[in-house]
Amino acid sequence: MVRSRKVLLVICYLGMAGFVSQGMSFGASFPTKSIDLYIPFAPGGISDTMGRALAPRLGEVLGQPIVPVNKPGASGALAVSLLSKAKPDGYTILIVSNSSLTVVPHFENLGYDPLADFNYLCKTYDQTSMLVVPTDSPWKTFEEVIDFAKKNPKKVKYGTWGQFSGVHIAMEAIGKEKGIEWGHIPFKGEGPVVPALLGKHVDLGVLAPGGVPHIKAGKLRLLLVLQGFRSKTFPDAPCFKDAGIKFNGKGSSELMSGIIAPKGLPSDIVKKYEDALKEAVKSPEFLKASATLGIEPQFLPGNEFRKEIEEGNRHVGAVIRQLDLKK
Amino acid sequence: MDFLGHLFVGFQVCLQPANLLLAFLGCLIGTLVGVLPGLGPTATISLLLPTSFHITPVGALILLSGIYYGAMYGGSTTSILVNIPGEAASVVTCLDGYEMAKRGRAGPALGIAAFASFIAGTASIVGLMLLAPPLAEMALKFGPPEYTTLMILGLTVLTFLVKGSMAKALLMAALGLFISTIGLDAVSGVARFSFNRAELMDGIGLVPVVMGLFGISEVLLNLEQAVGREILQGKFKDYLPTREDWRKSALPILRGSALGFVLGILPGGGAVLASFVSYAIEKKVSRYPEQFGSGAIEGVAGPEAANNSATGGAFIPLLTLGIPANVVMAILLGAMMIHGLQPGPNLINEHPDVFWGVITSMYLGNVMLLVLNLPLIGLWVQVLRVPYSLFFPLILLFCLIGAYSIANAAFDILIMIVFGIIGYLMKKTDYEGAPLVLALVLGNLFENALRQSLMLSDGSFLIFFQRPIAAVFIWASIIFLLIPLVPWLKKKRPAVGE
Amino acid sequence: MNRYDKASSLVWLAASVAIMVGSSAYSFGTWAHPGPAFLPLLCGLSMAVFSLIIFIQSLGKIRPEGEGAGSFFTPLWPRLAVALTMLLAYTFLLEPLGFIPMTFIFMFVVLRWIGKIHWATALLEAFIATAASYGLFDRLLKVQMPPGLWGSLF
Repeated sequence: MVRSRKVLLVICYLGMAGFVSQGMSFGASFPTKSIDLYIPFAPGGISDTMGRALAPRLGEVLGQPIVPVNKPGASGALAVSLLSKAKPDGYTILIVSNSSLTVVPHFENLGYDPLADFNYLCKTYDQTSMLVVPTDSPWKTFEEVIDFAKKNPKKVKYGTWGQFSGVHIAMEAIGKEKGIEWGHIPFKGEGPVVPALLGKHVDLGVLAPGGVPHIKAGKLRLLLVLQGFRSKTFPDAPCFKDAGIKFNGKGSSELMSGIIAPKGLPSDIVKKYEDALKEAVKSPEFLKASATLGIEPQFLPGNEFRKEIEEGNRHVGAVIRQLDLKK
Repeated sequence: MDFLGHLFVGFQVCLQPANLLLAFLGCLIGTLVGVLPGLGPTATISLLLPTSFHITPVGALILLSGIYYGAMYGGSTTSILVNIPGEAASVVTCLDGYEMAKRGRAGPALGIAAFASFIAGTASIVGLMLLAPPLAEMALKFGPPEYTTLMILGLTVLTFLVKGSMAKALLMAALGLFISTIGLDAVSGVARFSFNRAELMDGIGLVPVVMGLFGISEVLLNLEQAVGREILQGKFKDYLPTREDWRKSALPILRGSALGFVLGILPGGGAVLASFVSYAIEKKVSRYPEQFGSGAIEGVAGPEAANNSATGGAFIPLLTLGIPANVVMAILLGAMMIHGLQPGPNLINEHPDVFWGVITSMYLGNVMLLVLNLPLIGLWVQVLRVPYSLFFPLILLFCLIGAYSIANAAFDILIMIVFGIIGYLMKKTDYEGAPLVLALVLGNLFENALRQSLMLSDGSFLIFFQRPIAAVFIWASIIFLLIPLVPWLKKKRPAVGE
Repeated sequence: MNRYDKASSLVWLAASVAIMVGSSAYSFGTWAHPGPAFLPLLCGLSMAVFSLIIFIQSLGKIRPEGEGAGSFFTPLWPRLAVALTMLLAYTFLLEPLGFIPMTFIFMFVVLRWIGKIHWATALLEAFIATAASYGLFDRLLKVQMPPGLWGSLF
């Protein structure tokens, strides 16, 4: 009996230690307890890695730990939806991918207005989406693909990470502009696109950072970066301008991420965040992760990020109407 | 290849005290995570990711891999003891493992599970070492049509799983397939049967369904009986597998290892499919198939071997091509990238110490897990001695917490409870849960692969017969479906001859 | 054959019809581009076929004696009711109340009202279970259990 009483005591102590360490808030200045950083995707992905790389320094500057919380679902839109319903007290923020704000709302109403329901705190980084082929593919340039596609309508198949994803919309827009018909094969996420390409099950593929190691290893060839300007990671690859494409990928194939919070955040807290985030994106963890993943960090203050998203959202809406893509 | 040299380098790395400790820690945490229902290695690995920043890249990988392996070992424990699968790959272990426990043979069941896992795990690492590059290349040949036909083959395998009525099993499979369609359709972007609820957009998770269908329903069923559990606790025949058990399990373990390894390589296929197929094969080749479902040890040995060797197989695409075969691998991929390592074709060349360090630590991990788990058998068997009325609330509590922990959502608990009720009703009316689970697991993969295949072929079903690997699978499925009909046809002949 | 086959097969038949009706809300698509209704419809159809087969098979069986009498539930069904109520209570009250109070309440009620455990033992086990699971899950394994009302008091 003695031993189990000792065990009981130990457990009691454990329990009490737990209660005490919950932390107390006396209405002191923000922040007084840990902050939740919602990550809209499963662990191990880009947003997750970058969010976790941002957290340490951000927490240091703000003086309270940042706790990454994964809330995957609906291709990232679930977390955004949950954020819109969270309390605007500054203790819940989210690292968002622009497609949840510029693309998804046109197709699905998940209970949030991308522009009205959030405080935009800052932009954190850009990602380059890329059109690739396996290295031993007969096509060496983007023009060769277009030529082939013109002569063989519906034969060329390209894979992306999702039906009605930003890059899918972009590819359809490009196809229309060039007067070709190519077939979209949707995959669940970036992961399956790589083996599909390497195994020659699709002819073309769109990848973002997931393609970087394979391009560097020489297994995939980069034909075109899906944006209007050259990429910093692969400065020699042609962009829309080089290929004579008028379509610009704003909101669709131009990928960017930032930090948002529910609307109604007091302005002093917003200011605190902007200053802290400016510091955090310069941290060694963040920069190292960006370099490894092929991501381009860029800090923009909240209102400028909002402008980019607004423009992207409008542009995507127009493209969808033009292409008559609504399901 | 200079294997001994590589292994030497590898062991030098993994036998460093810090790494040894990490391996042990990983195995320990992994076992714990595997034993607790609902808590999967995914959640834990991602939670420990930040801690892993403070150690070397090799160390982090060793720790995280240890958790993965440990969880695989641990998952079978609850399947056998309380009919709650620790995760989806352990569902099949419930079928005969729990029956063995009910008959007082929990010890041998746990023992064979541990040994089968060890043998298979080690075998798969050897396979990984020797065959990684060629197998990875082979895996690339699997495109949508190959996956479709493989899934069809997997579903036809169902016909061998069933104890009772075939119609009921097929009904359950169709139901499972239907449930897998709930949520956002990847191909069309339409949200199906989600009633505008954000939580349903991603469909109904496998883990809450399995916990409810097997675990909760079992508790509910037990609560209705006044006696039952108490009586069964009396008899404990053996603590470890007998020679007879070993004799019966030898071939199943071999078959399971080979099967699991191959299926583990395929992204998306993995441990669950391997365990089901292994069960079906063992039942088919057994001389007394009617014993399956009532405590046949082959039904534990084979699937346990299969799901563990699938674990090793899953590392192949990750380490050689940088392609994760399942969610856990995806996290490991993320972890490697955070630490500045880029997995892929260059990993072996650029960081041989990492590659071989991880592989040798897997050998070590398997040994550690065996050493950890065997003495625990005695402990677990004692746990079963606790009076049920004190014990079952804990089972329920751990299920509740486990279900919540999947996505920090009470919704998953609700799913679990709903399926608990359904499972209870099913058990009372003789419908089996295993076909439902298999169909649910395969459903999404199957549907996506099917539609992708048709999009590739512009609507032609011939694509399944034109591609060599796919053709093999589809013909195999057709043959398997026709085999049960042969005796029926034979019976007809005498009547005709008269 | 189970004595409830006739009834259960009809229930599944109804479910399969519901599924087929539900699927019609989505487009079937074409063979080259199968739509979202493709698989669900096929599933519903298969389920209908199988449940009909079971139903027909059940008609052919002679009822074993002694069956048909007695209800679906055993006399111990109140324990089921309590268990289900508490499980559902946990689901809905976990986040508002918090992990610690809800776990404690759940354990105590279930122990006391189902297992008929003496209240002091029930209290003790509830306390130990709550403290230990808090320590295990929230602290050691870092599973984020909701603090709820309780957490905001501290």
